[in-house]
Amino acid sequence: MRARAVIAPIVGLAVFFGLWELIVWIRDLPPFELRAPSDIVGFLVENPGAYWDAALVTGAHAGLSLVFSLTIALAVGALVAASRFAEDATNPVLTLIQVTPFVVYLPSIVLWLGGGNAPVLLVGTLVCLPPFVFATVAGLRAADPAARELLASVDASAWEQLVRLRLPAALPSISTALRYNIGLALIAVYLAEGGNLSTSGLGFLGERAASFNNANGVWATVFCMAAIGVVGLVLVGVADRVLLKWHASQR
Amino acid sequence: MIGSVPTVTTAVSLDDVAKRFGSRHVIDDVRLDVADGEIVTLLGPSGCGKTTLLRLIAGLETPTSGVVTVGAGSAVDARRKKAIGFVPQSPALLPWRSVAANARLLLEVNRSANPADHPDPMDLLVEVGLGEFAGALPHELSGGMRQRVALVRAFALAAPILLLDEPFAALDEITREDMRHLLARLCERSPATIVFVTHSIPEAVFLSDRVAVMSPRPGRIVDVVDIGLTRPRTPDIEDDPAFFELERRVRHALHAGMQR
Repeated sequence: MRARAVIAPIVGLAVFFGLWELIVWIRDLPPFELRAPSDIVGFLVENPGAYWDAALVTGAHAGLSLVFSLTIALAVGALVAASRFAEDATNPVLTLIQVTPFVVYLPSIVLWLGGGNAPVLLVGTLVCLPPFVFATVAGLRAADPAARELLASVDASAWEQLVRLRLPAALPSISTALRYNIGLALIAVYLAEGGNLSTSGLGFLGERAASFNNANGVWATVFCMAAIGVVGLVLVGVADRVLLKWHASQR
Repeated sequence: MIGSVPTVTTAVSLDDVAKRFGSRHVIDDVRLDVADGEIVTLLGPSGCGKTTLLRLIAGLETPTSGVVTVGAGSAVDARRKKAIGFVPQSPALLPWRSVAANARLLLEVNRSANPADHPDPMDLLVEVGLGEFAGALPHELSGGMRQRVALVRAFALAAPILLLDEPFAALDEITREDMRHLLARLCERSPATIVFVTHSIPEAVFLSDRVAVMSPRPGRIVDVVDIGLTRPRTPDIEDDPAFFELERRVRHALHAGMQR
């Protein structure tokens, strides 16, 4: 079980990168069309410092966006789960946020908030908000009706019901949303860093490399993004093992 | 109590109670008084409104007409004072809480209404044979064990009124027998007034002082059978001819109610 958990992902990745490498060599693709993974890794190994620093910035942007959006989503979700009116009022707004490509309004946000961290965090938070709210509401509502009734039979307050029953019951669906949102948050902050006036983060490095036609530089940021994503998913996996050991998904 | 003149007070009183959901008459014209410390079973076919009646006593529903009195006040008052220990049909254990933490759950909420003195849930767990499972999660237990935790959770409240809604309905016949003997043991020791809902005739006869037999929808109480078997109720009374006779009487009352 333990060995499989380590070996299986390595096999999967090795096959994926092996095929990629093979296609580039066999078809002899020109560098502007597609780089071989070995080229990109080589480039990264030669210039590690700038990418490491930028990855820390981007990781912090994505992590903070997730924390902000989850905090807001828990508050909004608790309100929405308690009131159909609040749900009907917030749903269209959340859907609008979800379906609007944020690159459209990113320049406005940058003009409004200026460069730096603020616009990046705002976009990251906005993008993660709808999935977190939907997952929180669904999870809070999924709490066992018999357990709700049981707590009502001793006149437990709404707050006690939320803390003892509904929030723990919502954890599995929030965890699922978190897995999706890690990817969304990373993409959002990458693009926001690139389209922003600041000079830090993988998005900025990628944007600058692209303007110099440095394909290795662009792909190096992509590999760093993937690494951050993997670290994020591993952290969620560890948290699930601890917090959700009661849930069927962990057995 | 013994030696003094017992004053029989009413713990639960249903006066001409009816409940409708829209145009559906679920129960109608129900009158029943349950004395302090008495064990009364509501017995009837499924869908006869037994559960609705129990929920009315628990203050979880309000009657369409009629009056439900629990203790000195309304059912909702009783609920606020944590005067009601409820055992639902499904054990309703919180899957992320250990057995011990589930047994404590009802004592942890609405704390200001906790009684000054209540049994230690841990002692009760030991008593029902779950001492070594205190740290286990519910999914590691069998169905019968989970329902025992649900009983402990209710008895730990030391509430003057206990309401049990077909707690053994989902269990196999063998486990069910064990559970009714266990419940009888717990009931004998508890001063609580108990209203028990079931569709099992042996369960009703074994546990009760009186059995209120209900008719199909709209549910009415068609007969009340006095059980009058000696206490404590031990498993051997199930071989007593008097027990069979009472089962027969309850079954006939049930069938008579179905014909109406």
